[in-house]
Amino acid sequence: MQNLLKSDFYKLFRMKSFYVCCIISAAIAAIAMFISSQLNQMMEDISNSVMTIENVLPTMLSPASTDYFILIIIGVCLFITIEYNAGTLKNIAARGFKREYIFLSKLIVCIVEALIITLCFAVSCVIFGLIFLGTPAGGFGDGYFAELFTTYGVDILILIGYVSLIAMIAYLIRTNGGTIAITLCVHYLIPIIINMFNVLTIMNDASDSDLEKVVSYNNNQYGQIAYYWIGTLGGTVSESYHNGTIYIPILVALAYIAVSIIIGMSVFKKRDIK
Amino acid sequence: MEYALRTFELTKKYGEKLAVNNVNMNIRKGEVYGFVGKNGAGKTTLIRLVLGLANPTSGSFEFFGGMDSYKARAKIGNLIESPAIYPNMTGKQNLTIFCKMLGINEDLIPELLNLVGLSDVGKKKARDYSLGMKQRLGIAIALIGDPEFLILDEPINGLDPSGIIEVRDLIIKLNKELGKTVLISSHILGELSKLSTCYGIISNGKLVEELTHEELISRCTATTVIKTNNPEKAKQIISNLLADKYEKVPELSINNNNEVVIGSAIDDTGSITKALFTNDVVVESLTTAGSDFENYFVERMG
Repeated sequence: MQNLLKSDFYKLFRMKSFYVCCIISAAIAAIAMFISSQLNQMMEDISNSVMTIENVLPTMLSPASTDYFILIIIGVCLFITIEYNAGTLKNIAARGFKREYIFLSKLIVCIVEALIITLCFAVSCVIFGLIFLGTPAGGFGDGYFAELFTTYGVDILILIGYVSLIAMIAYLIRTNGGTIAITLCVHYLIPIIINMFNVLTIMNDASDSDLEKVVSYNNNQYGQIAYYWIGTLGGTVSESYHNGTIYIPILVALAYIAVSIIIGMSVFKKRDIK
Repeated sequence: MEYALRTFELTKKYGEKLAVNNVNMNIRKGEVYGFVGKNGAGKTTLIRLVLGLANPTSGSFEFFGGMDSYKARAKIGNLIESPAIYPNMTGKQNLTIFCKMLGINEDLIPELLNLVGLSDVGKKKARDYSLGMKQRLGIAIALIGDPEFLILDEPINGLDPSGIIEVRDLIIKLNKELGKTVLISSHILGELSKLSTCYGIISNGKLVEELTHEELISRCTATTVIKTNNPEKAKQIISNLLADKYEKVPELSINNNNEVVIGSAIDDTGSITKALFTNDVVVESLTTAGSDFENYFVERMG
């Protein structure tokens, strides 16, 4: 297992796509912070509302709810499916490594890859946030960092759950294009479908006034399902933190990790390697 | 008798099709086992089964007299179908991956590259290699870890004539000097017969025959067939003539077509026709018949 990890990390750090994803994620963060600072200036002119790094950071750092997540999808898909495309997986399996170890080694490396891309984004966010938005006049509030690190920690766990799900899809589909296409569908399509069902549910609720319906929709776009779908789970972390139910996203993320590993591994073990 | 690989009624079914049908294969240690069969006969499927890339429908196999399959496979180098390499990496980087994977010192990489004739490719990416170069890199990967047993599926595909000779010499060297057992499948039968010490012939998933190189030679011995107007007299004359010339007289017989059959190829057929002519026997035809290695295999491959 240790040797498998060594060779998988060697492969990861020789992949250009990995470095490209890291650079782009850092660039996205820098540009997003620049846009925030420009919006901040405009808002200062029309209202007293001021956007500070303090209120921008928690939203920006949530991996599954930000635009750079597509880079993680591409990075993870490429890392796993290149073995199928090049046919190199048979070289590994034929050398006496158990399939469980091959699966776990690749998953661990994919998680590390996702964490590094996330780190690039986070570091860039903080640096360019401080440059463009500056530090808050009154300093960071009490308990700000406790909340930030707790919610960010849970976000990272959700990220790991999502990476496990992508890895499982990659082992099921086994081709580059197919895996990326299906993962993108999962990432973008499922939240929209959940949103659609939520809108229909709210609209059909005769007991609420139209205003209440709009308020209800704005407060919770994805309804209860948001707490159980990995793609929308990131958006519930802050609320769960304040409600004292932070264990829910933690448990859900852990469930995704476990189920993805069990399904992915059993499929990988049963299938022939071509 | 020590075996590198034995299979017992090994079977693989895809839907209704039997890709490998109750195969009992025996590869003794130290052999170069030529695995012969048409495309789709089941060669690669069988190789994939024993290497753990596909699960058998029924039957079993054992390496090195019953060693645990996972441990045994660590002692087996392989090249299956097209060489599996990372296209965006150099040859050296490809080998480094497998050295790390097998926990082997990377210092041996230059030696391996030299062995397969890839020492001067520099930083060229594997995707820019010719098919022959990829094949050589695949063989180098198979050799990492000093495996006891090499399983090579079509290793000379895509190689130029000099590359074929180099690979053949390399396999012979690995077998003769380093005592490695080799299972080699190829459809280039002439090439296979130059290095194999025994053969397995597979047809439609069934192993139709296993034989040693010596057995193959004896079965492929050519015969000389002479048609005359007087076969009995011709047989007597030829018998006397061959007795004078050969220490061990080849077997002589008259076949159903009333032709005299000499049980070996005769290089001096001129002296036979002259002797028959001077004894008033008319020679109507003289042919050398019998199968060469390729014909022998082709007949059995179906």
